Amino acid sequence: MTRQDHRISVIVSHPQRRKRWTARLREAGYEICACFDDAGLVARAIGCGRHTLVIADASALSRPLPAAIKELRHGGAEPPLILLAPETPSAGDIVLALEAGADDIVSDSLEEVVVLARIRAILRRLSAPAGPSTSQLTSPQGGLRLDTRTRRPYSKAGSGKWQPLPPLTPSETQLLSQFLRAPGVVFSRRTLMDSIRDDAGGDSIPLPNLVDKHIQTLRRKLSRAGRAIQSVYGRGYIYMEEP
Amino acid sequence: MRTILVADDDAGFRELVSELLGEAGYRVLKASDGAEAWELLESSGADMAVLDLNMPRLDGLQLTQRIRAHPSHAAMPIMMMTIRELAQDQASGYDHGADEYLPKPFDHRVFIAKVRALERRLLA
Repeated sequence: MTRQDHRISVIVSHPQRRKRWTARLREAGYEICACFDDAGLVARAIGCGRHTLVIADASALSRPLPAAIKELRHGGAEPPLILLAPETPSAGDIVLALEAGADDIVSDSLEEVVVLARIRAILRRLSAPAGPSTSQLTSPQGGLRLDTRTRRPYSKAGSGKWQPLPPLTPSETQLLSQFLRAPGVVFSRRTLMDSIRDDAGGDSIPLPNLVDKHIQTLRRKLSRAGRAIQSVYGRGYIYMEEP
Repeated sequence: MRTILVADDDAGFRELVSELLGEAGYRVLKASDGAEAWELLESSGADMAVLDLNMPRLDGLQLTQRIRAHPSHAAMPIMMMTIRELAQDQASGYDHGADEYLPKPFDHRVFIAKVRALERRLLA
């Protein structure tokens, strides 16, 4: 995304400060979507989904900080929000702002080169995937996800959020990938051995019990989600989640 | 439990940061220079990195660029720490790929609040 793709909303009640911030951001190449001094108006504007970043003076918000931020985001996680302070914020101000949900707090006196760099850093993240990439496999019931690119599994705990699990080795990734691509299918040890050997380049011949060892380690790393990898007596292993 | 990699050649600062993170509920991996930090990332993995800017073997900027270039670690939140407060240095840190920049010395509460904010925004 280019800077022109990012629309920044500026909420500052003081006219001169608002003009100064709007001008410096426009000069940096950003499209300024709106510059209201009432959070209620901006909340309606943000509902159209056009704003990628909000820069707001806390004193211009019509509600206490946590509630104001929640309204600006319509209860969600976006857009990122930078709070403005006329003077250098104290440690207490910074903690309050961040704990209320702001992503950053800067003062008018902070050098422009730093402010713009901070904005670029935040907007850069909006252009890139965070957390699990698109190279991912998900279990049928949605409780386990594997990012095959980073070899990182994630489990969905009771909170509903994805929690990262310990990273996997290439062989463990290959095994789990097979299970997630074909849940409910019994894989023989021979098939699983071949898949590990293929992944290793075919030069090393894994011992039969090496598959059992990988499965054991994989189950441990997946913790509760590892229970879905079940052994089938005399046949091999199957991936089956409990209802 | 999230794992945070702390890399700083100043042993005192490294231990302080590690202790603060440990008390805040994070698991901590410690490295005394950038090269050791990279080895730890490759072998153990981490969810976030707190890096000193000036480190031997591989400094904070070089390590940040290496992290951003590697598919396995590219999305990792990175906080840079340094005694250098020049505006251009800060801007450079951000433009090299850092998500947060914290001058030393810092307020302990601010540090943890920034770590949690990064976690909330980039790891949720």
